[in-house]
Amino acid sequence: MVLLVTSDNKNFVVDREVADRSVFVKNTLEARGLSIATPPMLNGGCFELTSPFLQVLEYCQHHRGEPLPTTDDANADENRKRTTDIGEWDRKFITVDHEMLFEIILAANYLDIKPLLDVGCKTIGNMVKGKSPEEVRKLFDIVNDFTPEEEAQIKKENEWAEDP
Amino acid sequence: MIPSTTFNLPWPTSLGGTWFRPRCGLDDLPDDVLLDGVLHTLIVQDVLSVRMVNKRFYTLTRHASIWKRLLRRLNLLVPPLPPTSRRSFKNITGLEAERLFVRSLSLSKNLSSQNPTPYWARVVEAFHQVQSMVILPGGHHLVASVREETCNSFALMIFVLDYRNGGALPLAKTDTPTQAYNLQAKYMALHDQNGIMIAYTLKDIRSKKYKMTAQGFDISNLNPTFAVDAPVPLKYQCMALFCPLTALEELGDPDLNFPGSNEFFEHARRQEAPFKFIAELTSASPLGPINLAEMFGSPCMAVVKGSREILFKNLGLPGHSLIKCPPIGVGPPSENSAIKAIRLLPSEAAVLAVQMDRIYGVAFEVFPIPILGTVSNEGLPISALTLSRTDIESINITDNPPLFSTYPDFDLDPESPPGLIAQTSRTISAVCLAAEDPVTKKRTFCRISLPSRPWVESNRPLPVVPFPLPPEVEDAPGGREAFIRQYATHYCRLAPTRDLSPIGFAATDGKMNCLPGSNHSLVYWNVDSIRESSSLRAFAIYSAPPPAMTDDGDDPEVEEVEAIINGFPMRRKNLRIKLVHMWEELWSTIASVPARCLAWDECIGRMCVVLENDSRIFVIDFSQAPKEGMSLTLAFRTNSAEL
Repeated sequence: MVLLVTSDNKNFVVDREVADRSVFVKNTLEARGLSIATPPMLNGGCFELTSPFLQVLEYCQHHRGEPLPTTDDANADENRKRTTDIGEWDRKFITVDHEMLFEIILAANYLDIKPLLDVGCKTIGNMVKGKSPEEVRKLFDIVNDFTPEEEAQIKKENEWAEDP
Repeated sequence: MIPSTTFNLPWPTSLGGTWFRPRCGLDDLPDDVLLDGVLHTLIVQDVLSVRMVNKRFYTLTRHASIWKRLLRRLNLLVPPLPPTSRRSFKNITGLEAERLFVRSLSLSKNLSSQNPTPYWARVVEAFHQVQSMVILPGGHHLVASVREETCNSFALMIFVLDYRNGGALPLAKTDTPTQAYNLQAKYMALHDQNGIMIAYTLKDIRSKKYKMTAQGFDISNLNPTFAVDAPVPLKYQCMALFCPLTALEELGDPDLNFPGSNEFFEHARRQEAPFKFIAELTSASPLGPINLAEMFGSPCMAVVKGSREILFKNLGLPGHSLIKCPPIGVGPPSENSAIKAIRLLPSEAAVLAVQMDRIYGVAFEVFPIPILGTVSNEGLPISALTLSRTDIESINITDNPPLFSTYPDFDLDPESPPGLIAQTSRTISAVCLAAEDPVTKKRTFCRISLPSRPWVESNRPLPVVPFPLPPEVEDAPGGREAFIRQYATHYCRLAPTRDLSPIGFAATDGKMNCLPGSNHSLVYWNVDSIRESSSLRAFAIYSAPPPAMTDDGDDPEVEEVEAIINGFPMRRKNLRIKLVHMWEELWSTIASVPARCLAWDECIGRMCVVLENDSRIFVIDFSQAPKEGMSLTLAFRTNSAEL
């Protein structure tokens, strides 16, 4: 069993196998020969950490014991990224509001849980697919900081890709 | 039991709590997550769409990793880059990777449309009248044979066409005693150094003692294509020069000062002369077409001498050898019989020679390269194909562009379909232009695909084009059989992968010309069919079918290929010459004056045109390329004052 402490001082006791889903936690535990770790807090402690962390733990629980992706095989890595399919359970799991999605991605990125990071990124990728720049801005509440001239310029550069 | 050590955190934890809580949005994700995670799942249109979202995404979508990944998955030929380490697939910048991708896909889209249209055109000042030019595969460099109008001197020049911001720059120049003809240039490695090998022919007054007699006789006024009687004996030379790419890179270093500035010229003056003399072959008979190829692990050059001889030179070794080709047909060779095109076949240690004869037609024959320093005297070809057409006016053999060999670290995704990639390099095509049929008023454009190998051990049933026999053989009892027995073994082996594919094309009048390519040939018409240079009338692009499709006996001329390439549904109506639709402004400029010379690079669809008495080069691209920087407008502008 491993004790994980978030930066807002919430304690979580989880199985080693679950904690090991995070390469960050796994490496730290191995390097220090500890059975207890305090993972760092997620995203600067600017927000409540407990809820995304609980989600991440749920993911780790579900995928416990599965082989971890190897990082040295670039080809396998490429193939993993290529498929945009997401498993049934993962898809349900990741069906959350945007804010939670980004927090989960940030957490997965920091804790180094590659499969979860992939699921999150693919979900964003699927949202972006086929959308116009304006739709993407609206969807994610992003401000357009181009001048009209710059925008026209880029639009012109992209013309070739449009269907005749 | 909480350990006393704490993690060294990348952010202050003291902010913990809920006292402020900004919205966590897509913009809050770190760059590497967006790049590696999100953008890597997207196809090209979505990448381009995301690029327009805001400046951060604009910058992110310029990243090399995205475009290299898209390139790996691209089911099309990737244009080659000059073979330098700076431009290896590993080291290319995001802009260069994007440029390769965008060029490849946009060219393919453009050429599969009903009327291909140039995407981009610009004018490059050459400061000299360009007499002939060669674009190196990939369109980065251009080698030109030029004439300085004021002092009637001649030179060779190398230009870089894809300089920063789409600019172009003359990089190097070397004087030649007379005008350089039959210009050839190729990226080659000489003694482990990559560079541009340039080969050309010269003609000059044979020796000093004739100089007096020749007073007032200007060698440069001689017609290059016909053996015109000169008042004095002439000598003909075939030269090979080598220009290392490192030297060119140093001269055109984009990090350097502004081209044209004093610092720029001072830097250039400090460099060694980039041209290195490699070889010279001298002959008393005229020298014709040249071909360069890497053979026996070294750059090699072959040049047609007189009507039926080929000089072969290994540019890494001293000495040369000579191949004397027998005339085609039987009986005395007709006067017009001559080798019109050659191509070295590195894997066969042989040379393909195309001989044309007014009576017998055209013969494609393969001769082995003799041992260094020897002469092979009228030996029979090891394989041959004949075409009994006497209306062929011109023949061009394609030189295959370098493909993936340029990218040693370009490992293809095992899952991506092989597509058109690997096979394309394997076929040699000959493009023939026939005279106008007096009845149909159509000119025939023929393409013959020849297998690059095996040339000799082909055991499939071969369609042999009947060899026309002269009447005396035909009429003699048993003459035909005797003739075939004598020649059959030699004249049956070489088979086209496809039969001759004539494509009737109605060209009302004017002269039809072709700049050949393995996949895409540029066809153009001049207004006047007799004069050497006349105004351009029309352009067309002829796209050959993927060679993979020509083996199964289907008629590729009517084949339609459908493919989804990175999400683009692509429908290619094969073949058929497609007329190019030029923009009005561009067309009125380049068609107003007789054209001096043209060059074509099929890899990126780049065409260069030089007009008569004009020191500029028009560079016209059929592929799109991303531009550097945000506020760049490089549209074609006509300066009416200059025209």
